[in-house]
Amino acid sequence: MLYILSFLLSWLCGLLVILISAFFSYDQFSMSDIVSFALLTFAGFLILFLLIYLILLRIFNKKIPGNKQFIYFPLIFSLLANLPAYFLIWKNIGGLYGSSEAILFNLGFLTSGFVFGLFWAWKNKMMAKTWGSSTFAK
Amino acid sequence: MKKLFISNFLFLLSITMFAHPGIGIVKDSKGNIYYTDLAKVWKISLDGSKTIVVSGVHSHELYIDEHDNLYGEHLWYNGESKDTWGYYVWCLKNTGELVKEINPTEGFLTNYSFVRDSSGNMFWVEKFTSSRIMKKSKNGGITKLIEGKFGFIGWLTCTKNGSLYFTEGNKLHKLSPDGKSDSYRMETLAKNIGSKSTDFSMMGRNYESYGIWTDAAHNVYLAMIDSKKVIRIGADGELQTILTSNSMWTVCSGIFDNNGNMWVLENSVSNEVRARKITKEDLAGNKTAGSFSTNPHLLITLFTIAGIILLFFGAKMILNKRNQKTTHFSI
Repeated sequence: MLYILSFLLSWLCGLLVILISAFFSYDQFSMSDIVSFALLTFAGFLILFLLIYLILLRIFNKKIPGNKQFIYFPLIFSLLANLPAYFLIWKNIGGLYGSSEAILFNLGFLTSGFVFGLFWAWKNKMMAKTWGSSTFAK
Repeated sequence: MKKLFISNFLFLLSITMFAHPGIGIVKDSKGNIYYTDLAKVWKISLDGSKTIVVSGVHSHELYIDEHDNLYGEHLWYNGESKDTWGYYVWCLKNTGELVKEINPTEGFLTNYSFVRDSSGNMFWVEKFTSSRIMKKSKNGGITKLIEGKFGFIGWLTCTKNGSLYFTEGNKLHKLSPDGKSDSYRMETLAKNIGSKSTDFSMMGRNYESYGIWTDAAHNVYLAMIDSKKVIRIGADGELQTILTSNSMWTVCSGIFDNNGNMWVLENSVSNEVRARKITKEDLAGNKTAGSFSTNPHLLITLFTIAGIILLFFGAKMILNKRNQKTTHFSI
């Protein structure tokens, strides 16, 4: 359940950044624009989540301890895990969209990765707190 | 979830199928705007209301005569088994009656065009090893205006007085009557107007310039589909970018209304079509900032924020429950 929630939360945060940026950079951000951005980021983030995020999460959950996760997790997921997305976005500039859309896509993925990393660091801290308190109760 | 996958797949497929946008946008004598979305023809009345006036027609071009009769073509493919095309020409009379100007016929429209001057002369391009620009007078006589080894010739446009504008590769040419009977003179107005196109190379179209239109001052406007902008070419040949689009829409054609506002026909990456008004103030660069209260953009942003808050508290609740369980077991 937490995996699904973290996925949706991260994707929505990415979409929110796109929507807010569009207020400042677009003359008209129509329903079609919103649906296009929402679908493309959802599909892209779903693929990244299933193929990369879950694997990296499993690896780095064990390797990075404690509070360091708050620094490394957002960095790893926003930069390293999103590399294929950044590459594909860059490759399709001029073909599927212009450079301004590419910036928005990149911003969206960057935010999604950042929030995802932050979420799991926070989740781990919450769980660790409980284990600490329960040990104390014992 | 399955539905979502299918819709995503269809959406991505539609992006790759972005093929041959229409350029049909015209105005009648009252100033109403008509445009094609390749399935229907829409009318935007002076009060801004939008209605469908012709449906079920795959029309790329439109023409409206001085009596406000609207013309277009319906083109269709008869399937792979037959591998033939068919067409008819329709006319929406100013009385509202829809008639077939040319009955359904197999093949493609020949010796007929929606590019016409105020006298009703038709103009079209014939593309062979050498290309020709042809003219059909109102009395039915067909003449060749020019012939030569041209590069790819794009859409043709005609002003009321019979001057023709067309792009050849990345050049813009003007063909105008030179005063003698049926004699035309060609001049190149601009070179290097656009970069190579990626979207349309399959149709022999190597450059990105698309629809052409003019204003009352005889400036020529070109829709550049890849770079998503409109350029204006003045009488002196000077190029100026007057509109850029930074959304998923790209301008394919345009027209000026009676008040000097420019209407652009735009295609989206998902093959939707819309007509958008660019006011003369906007064109002059005196544009006011977009209002926050317009369109569904703000609403969706607010819903997204609400969704994020809900998801966050949902996650927190789940974690708290887990923590309680863990504490309980530990004790």
